Amino acid sequence: MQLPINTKSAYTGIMLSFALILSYLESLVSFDMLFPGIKLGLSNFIVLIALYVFGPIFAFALCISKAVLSSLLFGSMAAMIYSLCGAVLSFAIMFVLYRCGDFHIPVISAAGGVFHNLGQFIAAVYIMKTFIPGFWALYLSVLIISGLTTGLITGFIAQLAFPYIKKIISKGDRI
Amino acid sequence: MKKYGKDIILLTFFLCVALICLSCHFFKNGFHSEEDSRTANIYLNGEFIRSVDLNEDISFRIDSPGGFNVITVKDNAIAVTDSDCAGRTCINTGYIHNNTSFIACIPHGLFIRIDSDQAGGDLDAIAY
Repeated sequence: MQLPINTKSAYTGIMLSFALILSYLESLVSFDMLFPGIKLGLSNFIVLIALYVFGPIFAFALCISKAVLSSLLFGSMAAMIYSLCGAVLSFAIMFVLYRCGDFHIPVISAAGGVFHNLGQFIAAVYIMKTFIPGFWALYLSVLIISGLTTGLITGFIAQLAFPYIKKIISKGDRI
Repeated sequence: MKKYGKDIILLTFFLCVALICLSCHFFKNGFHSEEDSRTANIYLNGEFIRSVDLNEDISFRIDSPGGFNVITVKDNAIAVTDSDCAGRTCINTGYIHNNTSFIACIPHGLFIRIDSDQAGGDLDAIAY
C-alpha cells in the first residue's frame, strides 16, 4: 500500500503498542508446564500484517523493537537474546516466503513460528553450551510442531483481521 | 485465488522434519524415559564408596565409624530408611529422584547424590 513515510511510522508505533499489549496478555497465560519455551506468539501476527501493509523495513523495525521492549518489560535480560534471535530468524523466513508470493498468510505465519522456535533453540544451545545428548531431537520436533500449530492459529487470525486493518489505515490516511 | 499446492508442500516439509527428529530420538534412545539410566553415588567423609543403579529396588546397610545407615532404592528413587544418628535428618529427607536434591547424614559423614549425565527432564538452572 502506498502511504507517506510519516504515516507509516506513526502506524508502526501504534502497531508496536498493540503487539506489546498482546505479549503482556501472553505472559499472563503460561504453557510452560509440558515443555519450557512454548507460547502462542500472538504478537507475531502484528509483524505479519505490518509486513503486508507497511513493507519489510517497517516490519523489521517493529519486529526488533517488539522483541527488545517485550523482554525488557515482561521478561529478563537473558530472555532478550533468545527472543531477538528468534525474531530475526522468523522475520527472515517470513520475508523470503512473502517475496516468493505464492504462499498464504497462515502458512507464512507457521513458517515464522517454526523458525522463531528454531532461533531460540540455537541461541539456547549457543549460550548454555550444552547440547543435551539424546534429548535435543525430541525437543526439536516438539518445537517444530508447536511452532507450526501456533503459527497457523495466529496466521488465521491475521488473515481474518487483515482486511479490517487495511480499511482502517486507508481511511485514517485521508483524515 | 492462489493455489494451495506450495503451501501444502511447505507444511509437509516441516512436518517431515519434525517426524524425522522424533524418529531419530526414538531410534537412538528406544522408548525408555530419561530416568531409566540414573545412578546414585554414595560418599562417606568426602570419599566415593559406592554407586547404586536406581532401576533395581534394593536395600543395603552402610557402616561408618559413627554408626550405620540403611539405604533403600525404590521406584527410581533413593532414601535413607534407617539410621542410628542423632537428628534423623537423613531419614526425614525422604526419597530423592533427581539431581536437584541430595541426602546428607552429617554425624556419619554420609552423602548421597544422583549424578545423571543426561540432563533431560530436570531443568534446574535455566531462567527465561
